[in-house]
Amino acid sequence: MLKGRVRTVLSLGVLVCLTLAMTGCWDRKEIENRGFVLGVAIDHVTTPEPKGQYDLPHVTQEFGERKYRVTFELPRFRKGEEKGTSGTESHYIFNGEGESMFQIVRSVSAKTYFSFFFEDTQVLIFSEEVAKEGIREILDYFLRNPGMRRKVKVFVTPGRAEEILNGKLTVEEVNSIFIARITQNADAIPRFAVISTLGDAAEAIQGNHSFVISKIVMENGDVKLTSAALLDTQGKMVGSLDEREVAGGKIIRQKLKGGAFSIPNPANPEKLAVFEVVEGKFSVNSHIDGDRLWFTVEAELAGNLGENTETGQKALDPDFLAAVEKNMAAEFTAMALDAYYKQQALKADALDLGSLVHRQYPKYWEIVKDRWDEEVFPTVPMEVHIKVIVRRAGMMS
Amino acid sequence: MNPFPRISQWQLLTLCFIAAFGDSMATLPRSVGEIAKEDMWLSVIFGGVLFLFTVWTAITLASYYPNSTCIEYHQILLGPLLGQILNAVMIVLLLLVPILSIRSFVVALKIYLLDVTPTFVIVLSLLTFITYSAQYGLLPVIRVLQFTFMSIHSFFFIVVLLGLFSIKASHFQPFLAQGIMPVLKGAIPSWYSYTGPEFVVCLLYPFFIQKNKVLTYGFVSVLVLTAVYTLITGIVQGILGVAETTRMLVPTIIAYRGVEIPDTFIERLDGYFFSMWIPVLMVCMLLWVYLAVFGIKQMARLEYSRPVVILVCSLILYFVVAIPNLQTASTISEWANYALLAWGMGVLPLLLALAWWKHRR
Repeated sequence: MLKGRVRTVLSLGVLVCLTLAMTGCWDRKEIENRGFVLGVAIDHVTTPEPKGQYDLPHVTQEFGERKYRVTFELPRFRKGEEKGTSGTESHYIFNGEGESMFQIVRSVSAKTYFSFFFEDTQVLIFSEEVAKEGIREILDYFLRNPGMRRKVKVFVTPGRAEEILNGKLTVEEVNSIFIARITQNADAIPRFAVISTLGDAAEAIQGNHSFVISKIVMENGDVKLTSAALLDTQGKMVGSLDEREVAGGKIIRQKLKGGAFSIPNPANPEKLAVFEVVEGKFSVNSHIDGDRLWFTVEAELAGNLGENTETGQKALDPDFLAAVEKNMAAEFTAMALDAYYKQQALKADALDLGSLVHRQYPKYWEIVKDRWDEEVFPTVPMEVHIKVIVRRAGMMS
Repeated sequence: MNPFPRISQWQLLTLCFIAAFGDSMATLPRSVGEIAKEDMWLSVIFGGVLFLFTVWTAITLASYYPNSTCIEYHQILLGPLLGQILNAVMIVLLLLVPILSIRSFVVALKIYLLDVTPTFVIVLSLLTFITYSAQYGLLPVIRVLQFTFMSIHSFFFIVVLLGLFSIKASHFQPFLAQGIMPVLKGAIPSWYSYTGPEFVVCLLYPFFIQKNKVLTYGFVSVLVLTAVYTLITGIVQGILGVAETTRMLVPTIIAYRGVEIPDTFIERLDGYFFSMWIPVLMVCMLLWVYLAVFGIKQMARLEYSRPVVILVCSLILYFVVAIPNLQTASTISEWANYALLAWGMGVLPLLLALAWWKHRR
């Protein structure tokens, strides 16, 4: 009897101990104390002198310069009774200046009771100046941080990156979330670069590949994703691709999935015929004959005649449609070649053609891989054959 | 407590699978990828094929002594002294695996989930469960394993499969660019992931009901393991690419943290992955601890295993916490892998040859 009672008491004691152990108190963090970092912007420090009496942005480091100004955007959670606000009122901005990203993050923690939390970070924006100097070293911290996800979208901006996060948007949304959501339209708007993520950038740098990052600009409360920054194998920005070259590059990378493209109307060059891509079939190959290497791009782009500003024309006229297909194919070919020549000129293969050679001719790749971007890629010719098919001409005959 | 438990063929399959499927899948793609590059998934398959030989050896050896465990027939084959030394070596190996696995699991858990909780507390919680479950003998252990296999493991495989949404086909090429040798060499580090079934067979053979089907079900378990490991390695390779897979500390977790299925109730996969991985590892460790306890109990000819369970779990707790850093753990893991390889490809075939020679006489 006594033994039974002792056992019951002991069992209860163990249960209580286990219950205490399972509460997870050590890792308890209240949600209102979490600093959900939604966006990070990295600029060069404008003036490395002290700012204000206490120089609050300054981050004390044992070694290193006052090199980068890092801006963090956190959401401002509103109470239920508060009415909707927009732009700067819907977020908190914190920043710090130093060289080590880690120390900057920790230093900013001295300005707020939030503990910075990177699990939900949406965007990482570099100013062009910083990108030109190279983003490889900066990415190290974000890749080491276990909280950071590889799907964080990376952008470059021609101006100050902090202004993209600081700026007041015309829409009622936190800037970082709004920007991240714009990328959902990437397939419909082929004129900004394929979305680069932190993981893509890390993979390219680690694999010694050049890569592109979409640019972002902001003006009068509007943001726009546009064109691309071209970064070399070291993660340094070596040039820019305009919107036409970005779209051309997407043909070579087999990523063109949609978008509207205009050409002069074949019947009246002063008017427009607009073609909407709805489907693309691509075949990109490398060929070797002796020491000679060349690429071929074959594509079949099918879609609709989305608009014809020559209103008196019969859009279903076979001759007219054939002319649209022919002219559109010529335009796509020129776009692809322009993108290719531009990247050859900049000695940066962000079109994955080096990887293509690696996949198709691994032995040849072993010979050329160390001098691919600098020496080999700029000299390789490319043949482009594009066929356009107009499937429909809209709701009018 | 039933002193003569019986293990059916399906339970055998479950035991063999769970013994091998624990923490190593988190690092398997890295260890094979470092050698085999784009053909890392092929190395995993080759490792599985190689392991079939070990399972065949273990089962054939055990079939010479159908009513004895390996603790007993080691002494029959090698004599009492050498036999007990070999048993002691085997017990060390059986203890080494849970020490290293729990250690690496706790590191991953601390990085991603419980960063502030002391290592000691996490290990203690894990070992409390193991101590409780292992002390009542084989049948409760099998029941826990069966229940987990049907519920948690099944769901875990669905989570693993969802990773297919994020792979890039180009990450798998070129195929066999470096020839076959790196593929074969890559199979060596995969050994640690497969190890387990050979010990299950050697220690529990007398309890199997249909001994004529042990070979079939043993092979099936290794084939299923090979398929699952190949799938995981392939998915990680497809998501991260070779360069990133070989650079990451725990590539499988990093790859699954990158899998997002937006606009669905799933959204992100890593939460599901972690919540399934914890019980998957717990039952795997439970089995290893039970095998070690069972071995010690037989070696020392003890009637009850409860004190041994407490002793073994205390030892595991001490050594898991005592390993000072990741480098030391990696070095010990590397040596443990070679030791397990030597056991599976060296000791077992030698014992089999000896058994065959003795029976021939």
